Amino acid sequence: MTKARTAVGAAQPKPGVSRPRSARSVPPPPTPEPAADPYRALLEQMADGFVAFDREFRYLYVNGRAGELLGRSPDELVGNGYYDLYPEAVGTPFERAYARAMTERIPIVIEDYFAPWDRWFENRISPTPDGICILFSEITERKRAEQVVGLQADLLSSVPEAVVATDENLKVIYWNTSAANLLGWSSTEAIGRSISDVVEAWSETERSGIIDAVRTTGSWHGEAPRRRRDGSWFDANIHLAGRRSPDGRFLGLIGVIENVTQRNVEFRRSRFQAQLLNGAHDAIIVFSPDRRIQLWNRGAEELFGWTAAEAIGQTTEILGFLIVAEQRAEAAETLARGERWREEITYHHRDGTASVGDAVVAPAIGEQGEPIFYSVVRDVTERVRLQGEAEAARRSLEALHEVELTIIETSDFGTVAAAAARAVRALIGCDLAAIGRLDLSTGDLVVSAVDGDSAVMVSGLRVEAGRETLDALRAGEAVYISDLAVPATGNASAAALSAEGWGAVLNAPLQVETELVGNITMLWRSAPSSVHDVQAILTDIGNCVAIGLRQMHLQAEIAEHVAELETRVEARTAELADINAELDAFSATVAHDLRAPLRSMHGFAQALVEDEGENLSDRGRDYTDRIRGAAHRMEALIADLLEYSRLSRSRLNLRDISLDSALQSALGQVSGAIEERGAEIDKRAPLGHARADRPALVQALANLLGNAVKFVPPDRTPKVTVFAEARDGRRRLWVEDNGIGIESRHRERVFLPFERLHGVESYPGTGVGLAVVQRILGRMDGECGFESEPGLGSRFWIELADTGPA
Amino acid sequence: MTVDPQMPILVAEDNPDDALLLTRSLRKARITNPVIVVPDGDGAIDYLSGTGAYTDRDRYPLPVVLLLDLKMSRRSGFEVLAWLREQPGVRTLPVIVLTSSKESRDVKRAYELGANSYLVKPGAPDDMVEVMRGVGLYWLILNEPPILPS
Repeated sequence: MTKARTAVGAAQPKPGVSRPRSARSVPPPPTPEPAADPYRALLEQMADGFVAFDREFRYLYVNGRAGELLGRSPDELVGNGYYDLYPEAVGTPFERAYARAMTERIPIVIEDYFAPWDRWFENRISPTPDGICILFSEITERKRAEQVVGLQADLLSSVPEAVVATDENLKVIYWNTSAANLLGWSSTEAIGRSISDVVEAWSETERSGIIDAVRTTGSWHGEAPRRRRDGSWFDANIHLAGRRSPDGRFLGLIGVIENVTQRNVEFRRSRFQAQLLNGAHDAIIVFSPDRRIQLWNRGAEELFGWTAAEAIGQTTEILGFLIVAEQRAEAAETLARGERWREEITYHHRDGTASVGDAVVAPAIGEQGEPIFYSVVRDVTERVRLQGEAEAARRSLEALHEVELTIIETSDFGTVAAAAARAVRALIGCDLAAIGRLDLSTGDLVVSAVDGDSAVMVSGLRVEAGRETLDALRAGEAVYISDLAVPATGNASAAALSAEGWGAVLNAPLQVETELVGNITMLWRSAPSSVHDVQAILTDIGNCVAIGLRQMHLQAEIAEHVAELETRVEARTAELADINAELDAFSATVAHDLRAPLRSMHGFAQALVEDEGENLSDRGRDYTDRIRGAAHRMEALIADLLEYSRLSRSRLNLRDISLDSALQSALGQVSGAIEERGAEIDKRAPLGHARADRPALVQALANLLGNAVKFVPPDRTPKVTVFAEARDGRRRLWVEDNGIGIESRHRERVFLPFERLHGVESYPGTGVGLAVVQRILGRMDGECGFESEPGLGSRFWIELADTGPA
Repeated sequence: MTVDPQMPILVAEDNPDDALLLTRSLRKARITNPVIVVPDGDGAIDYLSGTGAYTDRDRYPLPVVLLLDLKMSRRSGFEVLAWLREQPGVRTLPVIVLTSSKESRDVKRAYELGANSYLVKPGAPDDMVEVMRGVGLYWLILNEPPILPS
């Protein structure tokens, strides 16, 4: 407390100063009783000021301290009115408090700012019998300190960073507004909780690590993801400091947490871009218009052999790319127009090796808006090399394809060999290529085809390969003579070739499995710089030629087989022709030679009856009748036999036939028999269509219908039912009768020619009818059969390929 | 018009039974022309060319029609036909092939060689008479014969 200050205390009211007060008369001031008052000494020793007012606010008593505080000695003050001495007090909170205590007779404590003096005071006002007394002290310093604390609190509340504090047990004791906003816990919620509850750490390990760091070093700073109350994450930049008591005791943590998510995003983006630049295999270079290099990524380091440190600041001259003057001029022109320039270039590595690059140079705007150029160069050496290889492979494939096509198109080995020779010469790049074939009978190599000009190496030549060469070829090895001029032992043709001007020869084997079947000879005028890469080509072509050879052998075999088969077929055909001729002759004999005597028997028997009848007895006439009858039956038999034989040889015309129409024709053929027996024919139309030869089918049906009508007991009216059914792509036609039927023991014999189950007297016939039916059906890819109940009737059927229901 | 009833019908037939029955059938068919039978192809050619035993044309005049069997010994009916159609004097003579063969090959060949008709010998004697009646009606009465040199 400042003692030097001019103090103000309660004062005698000065005349003319208006103030709220009662209009009561002022009592006489109390007489002090110094001796009698032991308290007075106490009051004088007090650290606080003490004054007593009468009811008119005149000082009754002022202790020493009060005098100091009021800036006047107690003697000056006592007896005077407070407001007279300190008119500036009028209108202050203190005046109001004094008046209230005075009138209401209550104690009042007031702590307030006394503006006129720019000082703070605390007053404890108590009513006394005379008026009021006031115990007061100046609290200006305390108040100022409190204001600073408040300001600090406001400051902390208003900073954008979250500010938190804990006690020594890490329980939150401070939590500013930003903390509430950032972490989602209000200060009332957060305070009292453990810090780890409200600022969630990445992990318990991290948390304890951080706490340990703070305890030992006093602070911790770091960036780490943190989780909000709602579970979302943000990047936190955290400053932690430990609070310690003067004796070093840990009092708690103070933390400042900043949300740096946005900053990090931007940072990461730029860092990512930088990584991209460095991660690219391409060289990326940025240079200014004066060609000073500003950026040099890792790709550029690799491509050109200069580190970024070495390159940046240098001019682009160090690159040595754009070596072609025209290219350089062209690029400069393009860039001057503000356009992008792109070209394949040859660039040089620091070590001098040249490579092919795909280069782009383009103008751009730098970070500060300055004009810059950037260049991207990609190493395409490998690509160019691969393209070359691909081209070579393509040519090789084409040549092979050519050879293969030849193999497919022709069976002539010479043609295949010629194609192979052409392919070899084109692909290997030799001056002459020849394909040889191993003559198995002599063991010589015979030249089959030559591509190139030589009087020595010609088709058909038996190559006098030396024993060594032949052995090598047999072992599957190629023989290369780089200088034919040097006489080689045991190689007669080498000398001849050399004489003709050939410089080098490569002789490669052609193998099937591991068997030598031929060779490829390649000749050069002068020895080639290298003959590697040849193996793959030779293997491919060799395989092709081997296939050609194998094919040639197969063709020969096949031709042999075909010839043999043809001979056999011819022999068979001749045999068949002979048999047919015999059959024909037989038929003719039957027709002519057998019929002629029959005709004579028949004719003369009749002539006998007609011309000499009156000379014959009844018995004689009976005999001649029998002769005529027998002759007649034999005529029929021969006719049927010839018909049966003819059926197997005549040509059938199979097509779509209407069964209804065929049946109609067949009924016409047997109309005589039907009328004779008064038979009833029940045709269940439509019968549909089938594939057949019409005349033959009509013949078969007529035979079946004839039988159906014929084999019926004389006392029974023949009833014939004809109907058809479709059976799995076939059409079956039934002819059902009410005849005598066929016993099952005769089942096998029914369709045999000339088999008769009944005597001529009861059912005349030749026994050929059903055999004819079966033969006809057989020749039309059809079948026939029957079901029968002896005594009740039979159902014969024929079956043909179905061509339609109607 | 009718043919001179004295003009003969020449029958080339190597089977005497058939020749006899044929002659009988012609008679029964009331054809009265003389019937001259030669026993084979050579005979037919001799008769028609007026050689060998048949040089006397008065006695062996050219026939009004030739009934020709195909299957004959020595020279077959086909050969006779082929020869006949080459001869200037008798190339137009009507020839009726009368045979027991029904083979289509024979029929075709006979017509190709110039046969005027092709008849199959019927088995039954009555049928033979009917055939001969038809031959007489057509070839001797309805048909206008070619003019043959005497």
